[in-house]
Amino acid sequence: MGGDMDNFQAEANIKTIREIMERSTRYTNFSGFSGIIAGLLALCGCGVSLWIAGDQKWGNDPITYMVIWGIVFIAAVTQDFLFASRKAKNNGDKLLNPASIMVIKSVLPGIALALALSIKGIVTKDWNTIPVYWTLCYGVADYAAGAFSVPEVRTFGLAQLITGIIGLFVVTNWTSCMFLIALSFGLYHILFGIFILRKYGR
Amino acid sequence: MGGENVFTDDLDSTIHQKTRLLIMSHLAAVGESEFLTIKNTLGLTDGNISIHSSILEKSGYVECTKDFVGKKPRTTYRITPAGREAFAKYVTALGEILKSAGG
Repeated sequence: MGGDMDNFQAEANIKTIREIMERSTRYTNFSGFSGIIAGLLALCGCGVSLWIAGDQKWGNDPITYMVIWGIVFIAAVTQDFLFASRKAKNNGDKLLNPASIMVIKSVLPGIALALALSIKGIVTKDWNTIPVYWTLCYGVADYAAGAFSVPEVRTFGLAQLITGIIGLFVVTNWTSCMFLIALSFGLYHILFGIFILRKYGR
Repeated sequence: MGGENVFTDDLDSTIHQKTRLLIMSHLAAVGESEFLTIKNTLGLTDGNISIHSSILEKSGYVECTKDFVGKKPRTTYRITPAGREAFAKYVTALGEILKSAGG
């Protein structure tokens, strides 16, 4: 009996070690508020784009759209950084910890690819592809980041990826571009933020 | 018979305690961690962390540094090379127990 108990105990201890090491390296400084705000910013971007566009759509004023979405991107990243910093501080944690460094390393390739494909889209004036590429690459980035954080991030990434794949075939004009952005960067972020807020708190 | 002796003799009694095992597992994963992070990640009480981290410190497995961030005191724990080695040996010993049980 002593031997059997020892084996159970050994197995339990190994399981504990594994669980703690995984939990310790998981990035948890997500803010649900940040997700919601990011989604609202994307919807604002769509609203402003629609308002400016009228009948113009892409071709006549691409610089304006780049400025709009550049501002949305910077605003979204900045507020995410601020919320994450606050959450880390409240948890007695550093913003840059082993978990967050792994997350950053895992998303960088996807974001870099999105930027590269955007430049290509701008150069070739293939504007409709840019939101699709961003949705795809952002989905890949989030899916990769999910390995080092809460499981919901992976699901979020998968939703973006599937939407982006569908977008490859159905996004053919400006209107469908705006719809894709509103869905993938707007609604998905809001839903994700609400879910994170409810499950993990502020 | 053999199992019980292996279990008691080959396992580091400093690490082989529930709270200390949690702390060592956490520090082995992250290298260093603040008091509040340990508390939030492991769900331990302040007293538990203090008592058991002192034991780990006396064994040379963990280093503790105290400083201030503004006016707030900050306590940071870091696993030492000796601590890493002891933890690795502990994990290996657990593996051997399971291996010998498996036949």
